[in-house]
Amino acid sequence: MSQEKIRVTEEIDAAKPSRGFWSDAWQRYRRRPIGMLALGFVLFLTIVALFAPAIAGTKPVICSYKGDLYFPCLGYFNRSWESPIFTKDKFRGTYPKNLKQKDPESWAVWPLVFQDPYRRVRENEWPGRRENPSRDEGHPNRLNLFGTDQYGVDIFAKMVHGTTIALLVGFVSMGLAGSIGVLVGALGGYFGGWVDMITSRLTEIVMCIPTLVLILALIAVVEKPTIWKTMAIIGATGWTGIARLTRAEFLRLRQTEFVMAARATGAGSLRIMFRHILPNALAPVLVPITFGIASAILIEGSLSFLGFGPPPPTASWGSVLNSARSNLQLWWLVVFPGVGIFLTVLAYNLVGEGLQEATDPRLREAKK
Amino acid sequence: MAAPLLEIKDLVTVFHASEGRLPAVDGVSLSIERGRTLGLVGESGCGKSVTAMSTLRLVSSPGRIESGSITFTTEDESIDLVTASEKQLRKVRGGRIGMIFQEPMTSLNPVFTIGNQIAEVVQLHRKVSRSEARSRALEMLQLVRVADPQQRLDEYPHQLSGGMRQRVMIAIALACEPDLIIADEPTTALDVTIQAQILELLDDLRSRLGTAILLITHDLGVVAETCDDVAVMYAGRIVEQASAVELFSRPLHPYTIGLLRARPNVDARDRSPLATIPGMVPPPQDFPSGCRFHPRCSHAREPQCNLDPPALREVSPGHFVRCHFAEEINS
Amino acid sequence: MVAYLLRRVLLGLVTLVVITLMVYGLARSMPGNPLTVQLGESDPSRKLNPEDQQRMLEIYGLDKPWPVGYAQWISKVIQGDLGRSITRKQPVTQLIGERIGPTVLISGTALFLTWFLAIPLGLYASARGGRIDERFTGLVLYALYSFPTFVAALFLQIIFAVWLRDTRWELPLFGMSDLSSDAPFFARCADVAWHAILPITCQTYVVLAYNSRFIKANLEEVVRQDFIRTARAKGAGPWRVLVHHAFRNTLIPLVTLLGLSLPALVGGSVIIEQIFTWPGMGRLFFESIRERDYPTIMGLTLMFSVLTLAGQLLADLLYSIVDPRVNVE
Repeated sequence: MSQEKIRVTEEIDAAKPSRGFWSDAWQRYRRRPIGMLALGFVLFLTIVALFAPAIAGTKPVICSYKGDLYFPCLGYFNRSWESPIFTKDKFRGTYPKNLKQKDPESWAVWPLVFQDPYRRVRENEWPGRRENPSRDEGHPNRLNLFGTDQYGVDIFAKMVHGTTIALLVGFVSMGLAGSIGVLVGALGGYFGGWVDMITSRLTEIVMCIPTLVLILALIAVVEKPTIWKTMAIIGATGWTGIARLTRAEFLRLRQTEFVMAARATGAGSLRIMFRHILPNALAPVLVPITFGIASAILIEGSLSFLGFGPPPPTASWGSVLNSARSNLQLWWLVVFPGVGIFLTVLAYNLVGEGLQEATDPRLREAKK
Repeated sequence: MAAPLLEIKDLVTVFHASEGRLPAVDGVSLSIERGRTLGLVGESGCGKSVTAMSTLRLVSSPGRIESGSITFTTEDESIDLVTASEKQLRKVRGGRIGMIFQEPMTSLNPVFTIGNQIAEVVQLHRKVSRSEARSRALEMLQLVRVADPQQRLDEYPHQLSGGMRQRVMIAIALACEPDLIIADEPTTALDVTIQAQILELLDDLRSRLGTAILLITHDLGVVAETCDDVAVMYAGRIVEQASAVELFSRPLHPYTIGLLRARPNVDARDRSPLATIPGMVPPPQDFPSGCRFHPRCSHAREPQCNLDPPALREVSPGHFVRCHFAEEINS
Repeated sequence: MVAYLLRRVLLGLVTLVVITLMVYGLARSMPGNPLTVQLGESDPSRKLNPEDQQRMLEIYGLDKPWPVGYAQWISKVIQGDLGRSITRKQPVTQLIGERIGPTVLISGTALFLTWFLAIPLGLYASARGGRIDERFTGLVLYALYSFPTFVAALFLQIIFAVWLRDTRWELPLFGMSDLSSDAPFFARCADVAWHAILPITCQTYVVLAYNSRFIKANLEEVVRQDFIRTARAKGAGPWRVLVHHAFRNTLIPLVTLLGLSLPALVGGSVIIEQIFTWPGMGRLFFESIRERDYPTIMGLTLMFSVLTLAGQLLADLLYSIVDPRVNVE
């Protein structure tokens, strides 16, 4: 009886990935404390990334200057979002003193931690505070929570702003890899024949070239790498696993009754592929994408670590590690970004694993 | 009279799931005499397979035998399989009690040869050399009437048809000359013609080797052809038990009557529509109070049937039934 | 069987041509060339004047468009000649021959350790599945799997080369040997082994964590199958059921994994060899890209692709050996 019941509900699932399927998956996911913890950590990172300039920075979150309100901290996201008035009035990036000097009426709300990810904070930049220590003296201390690097730049600020990079790398590169992978896999799996022959060969060829080597060569080719180009390259090389899985799912699903039914109603190939099959293949394809986010973060870390990452002043966790290579006695340069990368990768892997267990029909049945 | 070969008493097997404690088998008692065939009948989901698995303690997590005893008596000893040590149990499994499963397609290990898999059970229970075990395997294949036994020995399961594989399973079950065979729906997955052959083979082997059989099935036709005694199971409990002759000629429980009526009649003159029992077997989380059959029973009467669970009582010698109104219904 | 192999090899050759063509085009599209990158970076005063540069490019055949260069390269490869490294003035085959030993020392030991430890760990994890000790080791393995190699390498370097300096636990930071080549043979072996400990550890732990989880996941899948119940019903003990019946079935996915690890065995790890300045293949690859040393890049690409394809073929062949249901034809 229960067997039959399972089969019936599965058929309904297959016909349309009803909200029931995803809310069921969520119910199962919620039961795993470790998976929830990992998801919580990812959310925490997202919040840190979104509010990075308000957490650590030397530019006011909001300030009133000569009668107008400004948000200079947005300059951390994009230079042009910082009002040009502050460059005209010769602030030279140091707000606390200049604001008061040039406009005694002004007020400002400061970030939680007054430190800059791109430069050393100088003496009395914040009234009464000493200059950031550098080299061996840069131990973690009250003002520099995670210490400073050899040039006196605060590591905590670098870490906070690096979170944005880490998350962007994951989402942008896997968004790209996912799109390429799903497209290639869907074409091969749905049409079969010579289309499949070509797409499968293509996948195999890309798999045969060692990823890191391919990426290094591509980075050399694009010249002046920026973080966006790095993300695009990681995405353009990381789609093979997703393509293979999508292909397998499409091969399986194109034989099912609901696809036959859709075809019988005269739906076109594209419509069947993306309206009927893809939603059903989504759960298994999401799993390698989640794992892919973890590996994209790892790859970006390795690239920055090897010195092939986005050029300074981009604050990425891997570039902090790179600066640690020649300064091994400055252990804090290794521990904080190292643990940061590790926890982020771990969290994404755990989320991926939780997703896998929550959506895999075989595991689901076995748990009953 | 000597103790029966296998005596199950008040067996309770529960599954712990997110829905709570689910008693799939809820106080089942059965006994099998040496050399006889007992049929355990019921619809899917009534707990008959779990009863079979419990007998050899093969129920896997989250299932667990909660209480009851399963006394297995051979010439030299009598052990309770519920409390026996894992080591004692291993001697019984495959050695004294053989088991045949429903799915011959998946019940054989795909990476070992047929000969290997029959010889394994011989080597596990007897001190024999490899070649002796192999010749025993050949002997068994001949016994279960597999064509070209010599060649089959070195073939893999995927090279055999379903019927052949079930014969191999029977060979494995019988290889150590057990006292009892538990056959869990041995023919369900097979074609009708093959079904008959397998049943005939089982019956023939029983009469030749004197092995008792516990035959689990949902098919009353199979029971009528092969069994000496019958127990009917519903929602984790035995509802009626009698000799096959008695049960078929004088069924007492409304459920048994319903099952018998629901069988297609081959008689060409009988044009009456096939009777069905309305509804389905409730899953353990939805067992009704009182008599578990009352929501589907046309004779159910309040308040007895929905409040008071009936006991299994002996209405005539050897004929047990779990119904408040068995005599009334059948008078 | 022969027909199958022939078909696979022919298909592989086509794939190889496409891969090398792509990589050659990519390499030649990188800005700069071996002469400018190498000389210009090290010493601006030694920059070649344009005429000299043109003459040198003609010598190396780099003055023509890259498809011509590729055609020249592949026709030489067919004759068994991988060419000479431009920046190192050495035949590429000789260069590879020098670097392959150190790489195999690291990755071969790591590969052996991985499987030697992963199989018992996987069996243990599945035998004690769900118990507290298994959950703990499972979590540790999962954490190790997510631990980036380059972070681990830096941690190990800090611990063993900085904090434990001048104790008996100190391990060398990088390089393969500190002794000169006239030191006694055994002393040199010991020295190399001493230097290899950290790189081997780094290369082992990730794969170990991955493989043991892979084995466990596959065992759990197999243990749910009907034939495992049959084995238990035969009276086989838990150990026999796990090792003889279940593990034998997990060999099927395992050989695929083994076949796919073949290229890494010889290709080595760019990151690890770079961190520990280990004179192996991964580092050679990295340097040759930086130096735009086209013949070396191509030689290594060719070798790596051949190994990858061979690994896939090997996996498929082994597959048909361990799984009687599969027939390669």
